[in-house]
Amino acid sequence: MSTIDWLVMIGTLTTIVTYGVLKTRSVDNVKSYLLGDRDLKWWTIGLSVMATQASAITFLSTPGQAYNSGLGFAQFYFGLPVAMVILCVFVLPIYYRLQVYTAYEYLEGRFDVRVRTMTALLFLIQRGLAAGITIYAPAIILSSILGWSLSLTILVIGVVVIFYTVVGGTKAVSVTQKQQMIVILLGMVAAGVVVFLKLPDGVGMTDALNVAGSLGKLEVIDFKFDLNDRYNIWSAMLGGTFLFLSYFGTDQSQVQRYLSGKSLTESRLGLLFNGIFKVPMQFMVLFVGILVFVFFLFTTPPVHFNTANLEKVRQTEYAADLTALEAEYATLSTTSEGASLALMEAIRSDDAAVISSAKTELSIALDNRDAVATRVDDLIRIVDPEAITEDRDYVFITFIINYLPIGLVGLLLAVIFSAAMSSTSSELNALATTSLVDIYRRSLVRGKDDQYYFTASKALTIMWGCVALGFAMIANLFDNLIQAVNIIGSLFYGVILGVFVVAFFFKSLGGRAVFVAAIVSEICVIATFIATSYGYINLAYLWLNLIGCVLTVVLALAVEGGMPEQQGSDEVLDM
Amino acid sequence: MLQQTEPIPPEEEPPILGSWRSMYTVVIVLHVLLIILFYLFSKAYA
Repeated sequence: MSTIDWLVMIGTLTTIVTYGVLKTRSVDNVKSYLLGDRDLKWWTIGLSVMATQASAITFLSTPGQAYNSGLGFAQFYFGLPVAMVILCVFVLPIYYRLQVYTAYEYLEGRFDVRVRTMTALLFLIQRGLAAGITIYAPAIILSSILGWSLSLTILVIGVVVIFYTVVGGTKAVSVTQKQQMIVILLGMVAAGVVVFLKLPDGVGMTDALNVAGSLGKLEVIDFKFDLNDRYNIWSAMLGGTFLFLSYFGTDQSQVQRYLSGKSLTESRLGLLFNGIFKVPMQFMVLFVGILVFVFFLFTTPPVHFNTANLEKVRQTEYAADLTALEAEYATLSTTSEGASLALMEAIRSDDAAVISSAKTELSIALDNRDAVATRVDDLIRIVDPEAITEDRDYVFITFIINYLPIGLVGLLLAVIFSAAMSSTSSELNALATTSLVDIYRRSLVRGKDDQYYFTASKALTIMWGCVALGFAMIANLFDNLIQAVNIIGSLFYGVILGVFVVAFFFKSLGGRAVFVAAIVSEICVIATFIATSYGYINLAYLWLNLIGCVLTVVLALAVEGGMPEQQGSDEVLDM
Repeated sequence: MLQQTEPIPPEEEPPILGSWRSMYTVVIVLHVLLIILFYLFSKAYA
């Protein structure tokens, strides 16, 4: 990487962090630290909500997802606008009326302290694990690309995030996220423009889309109802809506973003902003992946995108085999480049028979190329049986490093670091807030003054930062990074959402019923996930959100029917 | 001790469109249009 790229990357990140710290140097009490004085405008809330959800994994893994599987992943977000509207109508007014610090605080007034503590603990478990992955996932890729050790990369991301989150609390998180999101969007647009300009002369956008479409990469919507299919419109609109209702309505890392709003109106507008722009943004990121796919139809890609794996093979007696396979791959790529041009010309001629023949030829050429890539994967596994040969998360970063102009490489790396920091800072801030408000101040150490809890908030932020760093250091990579985070979320979100659905819509149900129902439902969800993992049943993970939520509500109704009790009301305990 | 909830703040109007119902309708309609556009896009290049 050139000196200019280093300067751009370090300069961008330093400017954002310095701005965040300077803007929040007056934070000196618990309310300001955890709720940011409730003075944020809707655009800051909207960008902050988007930045919290869009981790580095989003920008590393999503283009690779499109490269391999096309645009279908966009459906995953189809439930999000619906969820935003439901939250604005039903949930935000309640949180604002109760003036809560956390979503779980509401549950004590509605049910009892057991339900509040249990739900807060479910959140702390799943978010604590996810925070580790949020740091680890980009670190393993960035370390490979930058040539740093994995531990050093994790430390750089973790320590910087811990620093400004501890100093400025939730306000520092929000103001840095606004800048980070602007850098992220500019960087992704620039990457899309450059990859388009890098296409060979004579290949226009229409040609690129025609070729990608012929290979089935542009099918956004899948109407087929299949419970085992991770991404179709039904799992998105049902499972996805439940996931996003739970994530945005009950996950403190998001709730804290919009509770910092100046008013209910600002918070609603922030969420609706997210509802309008999130799906197009994800589509744009996926579309960049499609352009990278087309680019590599006309330019020979690496036989395997994770260079660290290739380097391992080169250090062994299999190096000659690898060189031979790379040469074979290059030859086959030349064939596929010719076949791609032929398909492009065929589509221009608008002759169905010629198009069909050219398409078949290109498909065969790409299959042959993939077969060689599979042999390279086998070689990698022979050298290191523990190696992860899935390389789609390295596709986009490989393109960035090898093909973007000087300056833009630094900006795109700043994008990835920014995304890692923005989501991690929200997570640490939310973990500290929930630990303090729902556990520490509520049940462990009561009756101290504001300064005591202010210091405790900072200490808890450092503690959760260290937990996330520790987990990141020992985490094993899942087959796909973005799915790992979503799967962990789906294990817990459904039940948490079920508890809140009962709280909001089933006023006759009490704390005992929902407490029993939530525990039984969580056991059932985890059992279902294990049964799916071992192949006993076929079920896409998004459905776990629906199962957890519905089961919690149904069981709570059943338990209440068997053991009726007096319910609470919309009140919060004064701590 | 129990703290009573804050009085319900008066419902503020959104800065545009006059009512929150209209705002929500616009968000949902835009989303439906986007899905239709995605469908047409997929069909056009299939």
